Amino acid sequence: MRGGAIAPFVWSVLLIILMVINIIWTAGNEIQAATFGFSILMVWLVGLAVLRLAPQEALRRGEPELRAQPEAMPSASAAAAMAGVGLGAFSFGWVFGGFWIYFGAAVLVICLGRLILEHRAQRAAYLAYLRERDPGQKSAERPSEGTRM
Amino acid sequence: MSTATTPSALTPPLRTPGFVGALISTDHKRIGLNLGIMSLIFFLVGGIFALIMRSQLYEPNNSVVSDNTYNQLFTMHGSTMIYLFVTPMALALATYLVPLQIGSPRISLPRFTLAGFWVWLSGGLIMQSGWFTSDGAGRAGWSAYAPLSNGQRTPGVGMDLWVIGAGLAVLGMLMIGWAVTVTILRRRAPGMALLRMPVFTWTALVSVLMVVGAFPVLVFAMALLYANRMGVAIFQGFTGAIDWQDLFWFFGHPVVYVMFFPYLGCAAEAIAAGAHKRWFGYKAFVASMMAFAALSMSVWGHHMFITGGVVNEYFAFSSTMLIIPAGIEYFDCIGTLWGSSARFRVAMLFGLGFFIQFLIGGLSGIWVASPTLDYNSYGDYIVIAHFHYTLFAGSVFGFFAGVYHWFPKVTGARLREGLGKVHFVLLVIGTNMTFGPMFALGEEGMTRRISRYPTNPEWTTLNQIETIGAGIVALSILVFLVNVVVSLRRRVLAGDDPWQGHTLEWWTSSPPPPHNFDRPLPPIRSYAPLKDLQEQIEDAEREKQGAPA
Repeated sequence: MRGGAIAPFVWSVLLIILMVINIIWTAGNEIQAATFGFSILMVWLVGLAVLRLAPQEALRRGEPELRAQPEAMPSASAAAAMAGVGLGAFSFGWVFGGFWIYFGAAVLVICLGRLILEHRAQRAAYLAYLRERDPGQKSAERPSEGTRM
Repeated sequence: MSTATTPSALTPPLRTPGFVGALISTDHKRIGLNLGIMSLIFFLVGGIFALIMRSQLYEPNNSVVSDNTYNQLFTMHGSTMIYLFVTPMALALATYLVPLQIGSPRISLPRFTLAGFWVWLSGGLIMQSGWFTSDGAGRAGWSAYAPLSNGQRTPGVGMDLWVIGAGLAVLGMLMIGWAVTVTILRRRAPGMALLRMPVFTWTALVSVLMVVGAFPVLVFAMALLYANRMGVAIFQGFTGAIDWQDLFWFFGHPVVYVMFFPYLGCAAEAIAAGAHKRWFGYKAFVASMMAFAALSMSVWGHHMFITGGVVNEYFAFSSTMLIIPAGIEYFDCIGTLWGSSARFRVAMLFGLGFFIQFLIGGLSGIWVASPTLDYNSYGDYIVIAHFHYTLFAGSVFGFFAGVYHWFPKVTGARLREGLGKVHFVLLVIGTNMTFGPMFALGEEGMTRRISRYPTNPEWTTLNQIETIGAGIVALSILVFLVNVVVSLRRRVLAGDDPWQGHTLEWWTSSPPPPHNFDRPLPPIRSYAPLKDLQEQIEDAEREKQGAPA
């Protein structure tokens, strides 16, 4: 996506300037520099992730272009919802003991497994669609970004 | 020029009907609605806590609740409002609206977003479950200062549940924030360059960048606090107390702006649509938002002026610098209204209310940004007044501006204007009666977080005004809920674009279809593509009539 990495990188430059002023002014307060630095790292990670997904486009200014490829979209995911609940139950178990920890962990693991299956099914549906659309073409086409979960 | 297109979908959506289907839907609109509805329920819960506290403070030495219960109430009121209402509601608005505004058929990482919602909700319920334990809920304040929050000074599972609940709630919001960030950066429609994104989307972008940068620190800090409560020596002595405050406020101040920017976006969109003008000074606004967000990541130490653990000059400098981007936003608001043919619909009234009420919070912020003045107000009601004017008088007014503006898009029905105006008037009166006298109480020396105060006629009168004001606020919320019920049961159909909106969400049907747009998008040449289209049509009509364009 054109320009996608510009916003986080520009913003992180502003943060770096403020962090440097902080370090100079506070004579290198470690915890403040560490939290500030960590925060900048997180923003950079967003920028780098976008750059990795669209290396030719992410740092170029201008309009996003037309994406003609179809997309596979999930419409519901019980596994994703239950994974969230599983993490909640697992955390709750740290206060109320073993059962909730094991129950939450089991739900979480099962749901993460299920999410992998869902993702594979989505990819398979996408490739099947491509084969149906272009019967002569080998299905070497990469799934669009919509299938990356 | 962009190509008019609708991003295509591979298959029609698998309809999963019913209640369960709504809870596991990966449609961003459904997730946004679920998050918004649950946040609103938590808002009512947090409001009830506030009403009980105000009842306790109606008279000196009152005994509506015990001191211990009062400690739980103010902790859970603050925590509920911040972790479970204002912040997640801002993300709910972003989750629902951003893909529509940028012309995307969906949100990025939809399963991740859905999981984030459930992690957040689990956290909220775990936090509230403390009420059902024998020790009661968390009672160390929403900021859980060490060493007050350690296992010796605040024992009991209720506080443990608070720590875990707050950590999970913030983790869930972080997941949603990631998804919104990636959506904005990756899924804009053809033609929608960064400097053509709508004003609300920009406010959402800077908010979610702050979420991504600051929220992991709190998740980490809550894990450390939990270990500290279990006996691991982490936040010990003076250094430990300062370290906790550094970690907490590194999240705690940016979150104030996450609770502000999207509502600023709501107010700006409502005002621009009501004024029938483009938002004035768009590029200056965008630059000021970026600067505002960066500065707001560097001001957290102003919460620690009196500790002696931070360099006050740096944080006073960065905090005072916030005046500049804030001033640009006010200038843009005035510029938008200047010479416009504004119609004072309810959304517009709430938008203006946002700017005017927030001004009081902002100006008192100059006071508390000065270490010298802050020494005198720290821990008293001036601080309470200041942040309630920013978060309630500011954010909540912006939230209602957004609700009245986008309710027709979400439901297909209009909210009643008459009831809306009653809601607005009551909220203005109630807000200022509740929070205005707090400045005077603080000046008189009343400290925060006390359940009883000595008999003092002046304090008693001010507290009674505040309690009556809180009742009026509650009444205004009741009027709003009645308005919602009436408007949904006896629908006045809104149509697709009842306000002649400027942004892409008004291009689609109300409510939007599963993939957001059933017809090709218009060309996107500016941050107000539908305004461009309206102007083209007006020009063509003028040309047809022979008048110069």
